Amino acid sequence: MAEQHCCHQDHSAELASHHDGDAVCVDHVSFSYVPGVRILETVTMHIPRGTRLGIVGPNGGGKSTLLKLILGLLRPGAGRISVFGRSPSQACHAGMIGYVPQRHDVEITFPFNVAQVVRQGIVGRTGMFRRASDDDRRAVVQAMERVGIADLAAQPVGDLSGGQQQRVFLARALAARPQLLVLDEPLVGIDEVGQARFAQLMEEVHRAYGLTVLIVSHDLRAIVAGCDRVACLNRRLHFHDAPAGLTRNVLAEVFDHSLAGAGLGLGDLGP
Amino acid sequence: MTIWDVLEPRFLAPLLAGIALTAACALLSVVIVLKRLAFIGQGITHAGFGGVGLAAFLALSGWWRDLTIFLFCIGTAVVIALLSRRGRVMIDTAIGILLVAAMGVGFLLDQLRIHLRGEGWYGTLTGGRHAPPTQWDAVLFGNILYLRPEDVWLAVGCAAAVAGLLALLHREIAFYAFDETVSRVFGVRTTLLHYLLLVMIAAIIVLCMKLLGLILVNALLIVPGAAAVLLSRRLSGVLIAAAVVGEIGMVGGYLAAFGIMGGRLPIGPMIVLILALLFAAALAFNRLRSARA
Repeated sequence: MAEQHCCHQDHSAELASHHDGDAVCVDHVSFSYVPGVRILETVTMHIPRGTRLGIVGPNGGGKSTLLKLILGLLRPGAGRISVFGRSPSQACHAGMIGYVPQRHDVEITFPFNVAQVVRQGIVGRTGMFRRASDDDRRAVVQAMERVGIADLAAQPVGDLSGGQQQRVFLARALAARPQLLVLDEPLVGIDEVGQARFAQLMEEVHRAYGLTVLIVSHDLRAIVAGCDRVACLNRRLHFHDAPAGLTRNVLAEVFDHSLAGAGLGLGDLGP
Repeated sequence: MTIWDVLEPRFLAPLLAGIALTAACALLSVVIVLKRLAFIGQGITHAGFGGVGLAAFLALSGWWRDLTIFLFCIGTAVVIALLSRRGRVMIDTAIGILLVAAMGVGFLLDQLRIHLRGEGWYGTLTGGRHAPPTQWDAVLFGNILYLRPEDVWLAVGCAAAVAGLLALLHREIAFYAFDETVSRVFGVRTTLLHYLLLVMIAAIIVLCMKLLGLILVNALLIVPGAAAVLLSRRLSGVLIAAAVVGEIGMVGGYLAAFGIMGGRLPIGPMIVLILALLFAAALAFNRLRSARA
């Protein structure tokens, strides 16, 4: 059962060429920070337009590195990545990618209020020395209403709870009116209630904006319900298919064996 | 001299230049504090010593001297950025090394010209000109007597240009300072902004040098922003507070230097002292407010 779903050479050969229907195409990508120590080993995957992919894997398994490669913040050592048929940095400059970073990456003592942070989403789209268009300004207001933070507009971001900040950054990404929404560990530091609310919000956002969504998480259980496909990454791609096909064996291969069953709370999975 | 002598045109003109430069410095300082560029600012100011030494070595004066210092500052900033870009060298390490290297080069070149005075090739290089001995204390702490009338207009023009650029690009710069990586993903030209900020800082440093000196100019590039973020939590409030703190320091220091001991005290250190006291007051205000909340 596990063999069938593991993404080995035969499967990847089929994915290697770029499909027009793909939002993201990762083609035989390898990467190392230090020569000889590969963080990613010939990873091949594609995300069809309008679908939601969750990338899971243990810490240090290369999730964040793959994310940085897709966002154009790093360049692959080997292989190719395209985002809507363009290079990642071209896609960024074209305003196609909305990014919700991991929360602790952000300096929170800044003198910015919620509306100012959400408005950051349209800065790149507007371009230097230009005024924001009416459409962009409307997109800011809509994004704040969509994620339910319109009443917080004048609050300093630093005063908000973790869950509220998460929604501010989601609104910023949506204000950019992207075609691909990328979330890096969106649930870290958020309680169970907040997580459930965030999952529901993501469901609404996906329906309303029709986006392609890429979520990276170390917590499989938290994101599995909201994804059409799951990719398990630990240096290599171990699984890339609908979540229903996930088995204990695959998880044991990707995560530390001891974690596979117990820590992830996946009691309902097959052998 | 009394405090009223400030009203004489020859003392009023430098004050005007100071007020204009302080406004530009105050706005820049908010970016410097939020983006944590304080140490790179230090690096660039110290690079100014290298520029002063090189200008002395080449026997340059006037605009050419200013341009040499400016280019030396920019060059050092670019080398720091290139060294740290690939992550091979940590940025504070790169700054620490270039800071002392530039200072060393500056002093060496200044000494070298004295010993090379008799050499024929050196005479050809400098075109037979001799630069006056370098006034290192003026370079360190500033001396308004070195301020030429045309410097005043250059200072006002440059300050207006810096303020204008910051105003036009405030959305990009705010996002860049808030989170550089994320802003790049959202299509902000972060590399361009980074170099633009370095150029603005270098230009302001060269202009402020005569007023405050290379060491003390750092006060204007850090204190207003550092005090302002303690005083307000809104961006507009922070910008206004920075300008007010900077101008109180500049005008207050200028007047104090004239008013106390009959104008025999240097202006630069007086300005810096007042700025430091304003920062302490802002800190106390911040503590009081958060204790009450």
